[in-house]
Amino acid sequence: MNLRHVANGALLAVILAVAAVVQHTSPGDGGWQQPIEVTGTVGDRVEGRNIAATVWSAQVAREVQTSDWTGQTTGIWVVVDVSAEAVVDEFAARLGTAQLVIGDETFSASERPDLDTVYRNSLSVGIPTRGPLFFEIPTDALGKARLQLGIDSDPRLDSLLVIPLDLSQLEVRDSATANDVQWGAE
Amino acid sequence: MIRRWVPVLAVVVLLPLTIGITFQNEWGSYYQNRPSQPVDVAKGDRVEFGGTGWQVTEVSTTEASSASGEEIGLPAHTRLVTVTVQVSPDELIDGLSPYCMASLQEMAGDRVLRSWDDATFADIDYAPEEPLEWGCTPETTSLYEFGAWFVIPDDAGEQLSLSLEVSEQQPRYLRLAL
Repeated sequence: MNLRHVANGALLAVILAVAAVVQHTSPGDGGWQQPIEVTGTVGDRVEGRNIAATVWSAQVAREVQTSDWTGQTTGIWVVVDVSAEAVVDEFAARLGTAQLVIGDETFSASERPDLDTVYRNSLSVGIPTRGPLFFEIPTDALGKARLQLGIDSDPRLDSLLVIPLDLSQLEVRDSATANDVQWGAE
Repeated sequence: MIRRWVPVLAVVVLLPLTIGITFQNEWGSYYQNRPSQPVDVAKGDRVEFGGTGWQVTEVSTTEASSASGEEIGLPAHTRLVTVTVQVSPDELIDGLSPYCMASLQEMAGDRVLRSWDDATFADIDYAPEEPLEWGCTPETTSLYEFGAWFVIPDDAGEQLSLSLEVSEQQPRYLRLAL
């Protein structure tokens, strides 16, 4: 065996090792299309590619009220006070994804409040819009949850802001009043 | 000796060719169908673009904290940037002047940092004064001026450009320095 054979063998081993690393670290199944999660906490500004948001508070109530709407439910409401803004441009920049994930269940924000929610609101670059998100969930679902926020209704291959919430720690009120949606409020 | 170089040459030619063709297939239409080639215009200059003359004739700024800003209802920590553009249609398409989409870009050299859509539907009490049109008006086929206005945060930089996209001209678009 001469030196050339040894070099060829070593090169082949290196190529196989690199291939194994690539195969092992590449996303599998649908993983290559998954959103890119950015995790934060209540009170912190969480920023992704073209969305930034701050969750200020969350409350749980059997009935919710806005200035124009009263929401009743056979389940329970989770009301999240959030401010959100776009980061780089306003093209199709809407708060299109607002989900509460509890266990294996995913609840989208309610559209019942119509204009009294920031859900699906247009987002301005650098100018936050603050207001409530309403989630209508079963009463027995109060537990550890993940709030997920994203631009567009399909956040795949884009940032997804994730804020953990422990709903079991929140007092269940008979009624909660939500603030109006306000453009330019922190 | 020549037989040795044939495969090497094949790789040298085929590899870049394969990468180039793949890139063009995957990304060519992406860049062709969106404004990706700016035509930069210096501050105050007139430019001929798509058979039409374009020139920014006036720019003004209103701070949210000013009396006018409060009257307009600007959110705190923002400012209103209004731009007047003179349009002189020379070549009409189907009897119409070009339609355009305006946006405001915050620049750092040649790089776009952030951009804002026009604030026609923003929750403020502002409208351009007559006889300014509200944006590009294809029905107007002689010289006219339109207003475009934007609400931007007060931390936006001073190097701003007005971007005008004319769909027939894509991927080229106008970037007029303000």
